[in-house]
Amino acid sequence: MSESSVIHLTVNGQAVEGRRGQTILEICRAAGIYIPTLCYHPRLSVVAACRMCMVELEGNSKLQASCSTPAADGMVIRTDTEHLHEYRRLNLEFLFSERNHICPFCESSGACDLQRLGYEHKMESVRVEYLAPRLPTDLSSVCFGLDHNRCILCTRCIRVCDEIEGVHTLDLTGRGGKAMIGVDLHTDFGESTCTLCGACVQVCPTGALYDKLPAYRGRPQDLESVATTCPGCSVGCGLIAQTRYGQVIRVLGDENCPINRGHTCRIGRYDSVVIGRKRVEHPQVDSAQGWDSALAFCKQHLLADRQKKIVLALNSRTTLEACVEARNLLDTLGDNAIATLLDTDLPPQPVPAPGFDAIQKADVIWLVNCAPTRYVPVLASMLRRRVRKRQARLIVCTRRAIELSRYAELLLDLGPDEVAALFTNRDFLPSGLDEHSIRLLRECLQGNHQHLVITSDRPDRRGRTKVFADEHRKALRNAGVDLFHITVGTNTLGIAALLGDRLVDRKDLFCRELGAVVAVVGDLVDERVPAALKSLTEKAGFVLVLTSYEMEEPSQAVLPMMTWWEDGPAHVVNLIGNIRPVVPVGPPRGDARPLADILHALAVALGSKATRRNIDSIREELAQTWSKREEVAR
Amino acid sequence: MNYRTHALLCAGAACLSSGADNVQAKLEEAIKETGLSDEVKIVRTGCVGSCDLAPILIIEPDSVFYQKVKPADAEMIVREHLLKGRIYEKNLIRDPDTRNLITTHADFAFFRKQMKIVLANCGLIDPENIREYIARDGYQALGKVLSEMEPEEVIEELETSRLRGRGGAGFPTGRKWRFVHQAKGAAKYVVCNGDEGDPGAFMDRSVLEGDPHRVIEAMAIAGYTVGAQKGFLYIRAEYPLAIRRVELAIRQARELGLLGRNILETGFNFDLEVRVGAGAFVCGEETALMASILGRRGMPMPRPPFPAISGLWDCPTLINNVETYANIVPIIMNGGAWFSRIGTERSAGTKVFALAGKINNTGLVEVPMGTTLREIIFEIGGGIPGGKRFKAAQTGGPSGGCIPEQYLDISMEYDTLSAIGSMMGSGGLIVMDEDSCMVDVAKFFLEFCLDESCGKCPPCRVGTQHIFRILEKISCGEADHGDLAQLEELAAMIRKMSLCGLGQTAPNPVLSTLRYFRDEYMAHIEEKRCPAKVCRAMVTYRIRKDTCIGCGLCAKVCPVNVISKVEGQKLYVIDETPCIRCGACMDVCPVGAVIKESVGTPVEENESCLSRV
Repeated sequence: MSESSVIHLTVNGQAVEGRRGQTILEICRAAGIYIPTLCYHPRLSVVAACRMCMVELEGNSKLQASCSTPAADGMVIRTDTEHLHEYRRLNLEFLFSERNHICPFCESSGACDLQRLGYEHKMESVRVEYLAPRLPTDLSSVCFGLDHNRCILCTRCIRVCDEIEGVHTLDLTGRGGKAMIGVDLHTDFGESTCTLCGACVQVCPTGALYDKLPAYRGRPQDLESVATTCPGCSVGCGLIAQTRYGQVIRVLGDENCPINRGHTCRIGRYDSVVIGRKRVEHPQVDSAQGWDSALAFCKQHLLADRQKKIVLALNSRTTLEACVEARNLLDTLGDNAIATLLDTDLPPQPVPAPGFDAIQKADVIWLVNCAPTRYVPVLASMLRRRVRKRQARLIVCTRRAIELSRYAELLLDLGPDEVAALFTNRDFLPSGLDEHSIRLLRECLQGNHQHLVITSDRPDRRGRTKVFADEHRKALRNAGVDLFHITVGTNTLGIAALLGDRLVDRKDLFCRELGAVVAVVGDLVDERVPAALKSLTEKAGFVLVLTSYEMEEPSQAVLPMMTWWEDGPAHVVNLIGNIRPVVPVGPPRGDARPLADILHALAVALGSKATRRNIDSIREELAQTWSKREEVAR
Repeated sequence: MNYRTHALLCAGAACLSSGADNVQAKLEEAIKETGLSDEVKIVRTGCVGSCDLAPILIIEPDSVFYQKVKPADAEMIVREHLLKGRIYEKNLIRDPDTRNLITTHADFAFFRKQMKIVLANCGLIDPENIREYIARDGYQALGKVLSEMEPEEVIEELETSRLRGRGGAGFPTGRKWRFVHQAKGAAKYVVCNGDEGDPGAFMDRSVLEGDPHRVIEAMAIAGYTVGAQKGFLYIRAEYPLAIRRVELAIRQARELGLLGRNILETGFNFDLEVRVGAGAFVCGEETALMASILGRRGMPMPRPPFPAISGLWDCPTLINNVETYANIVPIIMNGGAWFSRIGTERSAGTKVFALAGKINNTGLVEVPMGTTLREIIFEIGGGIPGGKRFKAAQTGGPSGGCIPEQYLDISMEYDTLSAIGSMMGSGGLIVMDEDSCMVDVAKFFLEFCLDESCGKCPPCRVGTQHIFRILEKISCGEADHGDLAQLEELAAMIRKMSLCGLGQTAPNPVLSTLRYFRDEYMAHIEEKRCPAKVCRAMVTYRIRKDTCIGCGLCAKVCPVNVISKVEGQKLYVIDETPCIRCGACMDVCPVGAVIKESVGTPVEENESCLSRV
């Protein structure tokens, strides 16, 4: 029989079909038969710890944990007998009695699995004595708290930390009744190896782990959930933004998004939500009032000095729709108008990276001049997972240590040229290596390994962007090595594709005499933005800033722009070329408008007759651009 | 060199802690002084078994058995026995009934009734010398298997032998080997479970300390049979001597080419590694043990998948207990049919029991399966000390149950024990007499499980705490019938819902004492009385006026100063209220004037009782 062959079970007298290899729980869930669980999580390994999913199996005197027991053809199962109900209820009473589960004082009340199961099992009281230990609460983390008093030791947090984020900061300490979640070895969250991804908080079934920021600002039943895309980086994780009164309260990873499957990182979950700065709610243009007069003012000043260049400086979060409008604006402004990027450099090879599958099939992973943990944390977690499971070896080639260095077998100070040489020239050996490194390097390079070289266009500390030259790319491709280029910046890849040759490197414009600068700052609070803005606007005749938050930098005109959470519906492209939706999750503040609208209005004010374009035509254009570039690269 | 006499000095843990090393030093000195160095050889052997008689010295070929040998005795034995040929009577055993002296251990009931297969070499050979093992036909079985037998034949031999796992559950060993043999995997592993943790059981330690090569040889045979090239001996850290001797034995076997590559030039590769546990009882559970070998926290995982299909590094893994492996070599050498004739129909072979508790002869005994409990306790074990009455025996450690007096004639085998609510377990046998309170016994074992629960599943982690609290309440005289009903309810649930054997069997001592000694529970609950006068809250201490001689020793030792002299009389009295009932006065009284009495009413100060939780 093949793995996928169909098996037939009888569950509570009902005939149910499943596939061989599935567990009883999976088959029952698929068939809509309810079995309570606490420690089970579809994304995590099965530990069968909570014992809530126990079922009766005909012909077997022992109860079976349905989450871990593989189903077999002909099984006769009961999930709802009186006995099971009694046992499960007693099990719940054990959990309630073990620690402090006083719901009214718990942040998770209403969204707590333990609480829900208590009601489901008609648990009216706890018949056993309360053990009531006094356990500590760890509030040392910036983003979340761990209250051991509410923990049921389901170990979901431990597993998600180990299996998804791949850092294994959490584990169990102590034994029996003294067992507790431990952070590293008896440290606090604040001092631990925790990456603040918040995945543990998302999977915690009770209120033991909770986000600090949204705590007590709204129970899940008070919140509205909207699925959107993360503004944080070019991975483009799917997020669920939860709002109350139009305000984003909490952000979760979207379990249904195929890119991140519920996972996300500190940037998406915490850093992008609260900026803590004053919003720009109305156009701030000289004495003008309202959008119309502001636009008129801008029109007049933008064209004041036609001899000099007009620069449109976009932030990397600029959506595809806005990019199209930006190009239209540039066209309207004439040949003198150019575009640049405010917070990232121009990607040298603006084509999508191969899919994340490349990581899944790699045997040896080389990190060359990139720091995934910092710029694309979810991608870093994919690497960590693969390397920590010993499925791939990691070689880090960076000048300075990065977070992933600790998982590396080999730390080398090699640039792209030298790495390429390793694959193309059998005799090449970087100088200054000790014997052990040489042996390891040989071991990795010989044999039939699938190599994956990951690199990025992030400049190094000296401002140099070290990337693989075209001939090296070709050579690597010929050597069968996968090259995964991380384009830093949420939509940099999309911007580069749609604005093409109108994009110039920001460094080329450094301290140049410019006619006018339109700086799209938006809601980006990157520490590099003010410096970039300063270098661009120092000698500019007119500066127009489109921003969501008030800025200190001087400008002649400021137009209020929506934040990421307000913008849309729009789209961005992630680093592997997937088009991701940007969905408005809350109403705009004041008169703020979407960037695409503002750019369109400016273009119209300047005499453009172009109409808005839909995403399908943009998608087509992207595909064409990329295929042309791929051809050139070959 | 040929020696006239071998002096077998037991170097088991009990003898070593009783000063065997000093005895040896004195022996050597005396032998040198008497000029017998060329005639007498001292051999440090593994455990002889009768640990209450430590240190033990056996003189061969005369087979004279000397017990409780002090260094001074050692010197006398050399001068009298070895030099002059006269048996030194002071250290001989005396028959408890006839008071006659017993010279050879074959005449001692403790040994006479035993049948040694597993322990055949223990106490006879030097475990630190592989040549002594080889001289006893060691590694012949491995040679036979590698050169003459197909893996299939080994499995058939095991199936014929009807050997069942000695770790406790009694799974047929042949079938287990067949599963692993048939399983497909990139690699396969053989594991020896030496994480013996039942309180009072130490047969695995004795085998590892006294005859390590037997286990090593059996593991190599297992490796050949199932197709594994690598084995792990998992030994608990509390057995440093066993770890040292096993590691030494592995080194010696490697040196002689009995482990490593191309064993006996048959092309078979097999090597062993010792992994030391970190002191968790639960690591005796096979999935937790594997997690521990893999460097993870020792916690059980659900089965299936069984280790035979997916064990270490997801490869098929054969896990057997030390005693099981120790049976393999004799089976190969003598044939499965020979083995199957020993013991009973359902349980073949012998079983080693560790006798402990209220019994005259404590130590290790090996008897054929089917020997009755009465034979073990009263004939081999020499009965209960002080003429007290047998009350119950606990088998299977904390996972087992108690066997009351009415089952003294039970045949000791897997299925009969399970039928009466106990289990074979690893072979710990703790004897209790009339002075044992069964509530207290249940509490003791439950506390053990509570401490050793890994904390993974709530029934075991939390449930055992609740059961323990109820037992505390009962022994403090605070419980009512409702508590007893709840106790039974919780026990049933924990058995059914726990993940691993530890939790599933944790309530067994409670359930079996409840089954056979319910009246004792009732006495605690209804009359607030502890019939065995053990539960502190239910006893009082009193000084008999007619016996007290007024020496004042009791007042001196009393930690809370509640014993005072009666003015003008040679008599002391105990103030009952602040008395903490430690019993120190009773222990120290030279005339037995302090007596313990059962009270019928609960004692006020129960907090000291409950505060232990």
